[in-house]
Amino acid sequence: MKGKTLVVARREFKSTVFRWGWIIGTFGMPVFVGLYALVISLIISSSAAKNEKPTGKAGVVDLAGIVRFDGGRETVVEVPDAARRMIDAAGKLASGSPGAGMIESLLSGTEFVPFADQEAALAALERKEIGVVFVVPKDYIETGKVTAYDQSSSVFSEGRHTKLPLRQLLVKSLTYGHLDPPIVARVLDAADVDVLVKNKDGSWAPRGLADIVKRLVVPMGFTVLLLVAILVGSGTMIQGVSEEKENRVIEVILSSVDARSLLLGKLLGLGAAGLLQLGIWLTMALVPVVLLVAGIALSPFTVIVCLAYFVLAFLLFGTLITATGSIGTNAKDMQQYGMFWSIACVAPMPFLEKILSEPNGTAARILSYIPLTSPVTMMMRVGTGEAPLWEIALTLVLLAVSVAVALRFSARLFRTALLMYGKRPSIPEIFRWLRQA
Amino acid sequence: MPQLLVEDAVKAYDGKVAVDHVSFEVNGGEVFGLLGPNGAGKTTLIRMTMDILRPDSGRILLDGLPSTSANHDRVGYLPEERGLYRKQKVLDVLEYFGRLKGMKGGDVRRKAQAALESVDLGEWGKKRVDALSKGMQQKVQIVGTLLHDPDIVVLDEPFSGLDPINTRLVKDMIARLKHAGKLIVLSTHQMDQVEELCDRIVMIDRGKRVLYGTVREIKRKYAPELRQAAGRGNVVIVDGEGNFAGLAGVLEARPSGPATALTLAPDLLPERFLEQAIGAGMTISHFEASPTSLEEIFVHVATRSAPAPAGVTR
Repeated sequence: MKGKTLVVARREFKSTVFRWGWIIGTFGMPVFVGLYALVISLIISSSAAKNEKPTGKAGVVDLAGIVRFDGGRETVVEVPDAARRMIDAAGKLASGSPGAGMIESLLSGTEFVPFADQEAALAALERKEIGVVFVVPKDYIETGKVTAYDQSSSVFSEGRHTKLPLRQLLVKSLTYGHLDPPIVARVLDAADVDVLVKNKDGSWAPRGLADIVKRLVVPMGFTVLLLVAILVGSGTMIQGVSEEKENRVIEVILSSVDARSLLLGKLLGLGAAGLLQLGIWLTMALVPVVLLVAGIALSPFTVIVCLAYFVLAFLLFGTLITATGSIGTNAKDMQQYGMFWSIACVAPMPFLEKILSEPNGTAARILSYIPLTSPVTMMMRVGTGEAPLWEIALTLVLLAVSVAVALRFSARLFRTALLMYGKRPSIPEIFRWLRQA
Repeated sequence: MPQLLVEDAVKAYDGKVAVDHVSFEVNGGEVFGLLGPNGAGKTTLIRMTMDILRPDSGRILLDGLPSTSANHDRVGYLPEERGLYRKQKVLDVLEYFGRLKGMKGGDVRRKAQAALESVDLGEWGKKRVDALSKGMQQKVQIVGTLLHDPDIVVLDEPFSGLDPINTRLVKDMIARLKHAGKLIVLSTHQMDQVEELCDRIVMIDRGKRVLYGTVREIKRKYAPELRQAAGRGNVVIVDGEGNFAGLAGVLEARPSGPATALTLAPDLLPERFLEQAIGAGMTISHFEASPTSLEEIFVHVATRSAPAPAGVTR
């Protein structure tokens, strides 16, 4: 790499990380997130103060005479083991909160207690022996209406999360004696689908939701980071370039360094500042805590490959955004011109479902070989574990070549556009710059 | 000694020719004036010699080699559109400019500080640029242009914004650079500065070269045409006793300081006028044949499209 590229990169890096905006963003973000979490937990606690711990019991006043109480508990939530571990971890973190109580209650089920009349039931509710009272009216069979007396309107109230157990109780009661218990169980849960997915070796293996989530956390994380980096990084870049254009420093700079080295140096300096910011956030334990809670182990291969796509994509989009932006006569214009590329970056998102369900399908493959959509598409495909190694290598090479080509043409545009003060070029003029410059 | 050769350079923007087949040559140890009215194509020409822009056709050679980014470090450029990072410290800006010009090692900052001291700005190195006056910023810009000791120095309007003291400072600096064998291209509208500083000039008008040669040569060869075009002869400055305006062949008399400036008929030479005045018994304490100024030539050339007189290279 040329020495002058490094000189530019070093200056961009220094001038970025010593900027108040960057310092506040870097160190303030974890503090902000922490404060946000604190405020949310305070709100929840105040809500908890109104709500007592869930009793796990619901009173039923059966005026229709159709409910059959067997003394058991109605549990409706079937949770996969991996998800249960996540919920447990989250429950521990939120220990004591009404949310945790609700989760606990959902997992252990609800006991339905019969009451002869509404007054007795409401008195028990008042004494907090039960969390909710359901009144099944005489005309229930005709109308299907049930009235619930809930302790509060909170989203965590027992009245809200015992609706499904009540439905289960009523189905069992109504079908009792008419259907065999196994049939009743099927009525309640008609299809528990096990999805089998074809492996690379041709065999079929189950894949659960948790597995997909685990595989996609890294690519999704990098996609979000890429968008943030492109938006924030290109914003900072355009701000710097517009300043250089507006205060005329650019002429001195361009008489000292060629436009390509200048552009690359700026991107590397800003990219390094961005990575440093990420590093600081990581060491401040923001990201590890999130991952730990989710119980997700990272695959080093996925992380490294996604990082490669991330860096190349940042350089590609940064180059294009800055070069396009340089046509603008002021910072506002520049931002708007550059915005087009950010949209191109997220273009694969509407195809996300298609990419994930058919990672080696035609749509996924086409998007993988278009430089602008390649990074996000490939990160998703890598996440599914289905992308062949040769395609990963080929798309990375294609992306690197695209960065080189983009730098070459962008440098021409950048150099000429930056010297045009207060004049917006026409489209034919821009094409001529790209050809000649 | 460095040498700059511009050969048949052409540059057009959006179909409009900004530089039209311009050629000239500049050598080391020479101050070369690049003149022309606003919009004549000077800045485009300078940008091409800096390799900021490429000519559509023609060649620009530095020491016989094409002007490319490899030559960037040999050139110091003070653009007409001044620019500094206003929110940064003076020394930081100078260090960055120096390093961009290939300066290495830990003494770039020390050299920048020494250069600031040489223009009486030693105490301002750690101040932000926007704390400096316009004139001070101008001096910082000049320091930044010369910090890396370039062989070729291109100064576009170096005196704008400077008071007489600092104008003198910059003139002395240019003289030192010339003495050191540097190649200096000076672009300015201030014709008195051109007459004082430049060895040779080129004048561009509407993208074309309209004058090229030494200042003396151009003035000598251009004066008759200029006088003829104005329908008048020489101008003489006279101080003394007598009715100079009443002598035969004097077309106009106007005060010029304590003396009088007289415009003579085209066929009356200054020495004939002097003989005539002495012959008429007038007392003369001061007599000066006022030559045609470069400014007059500039204005004349820039406002007409007639061909150049024979003998003046175009």
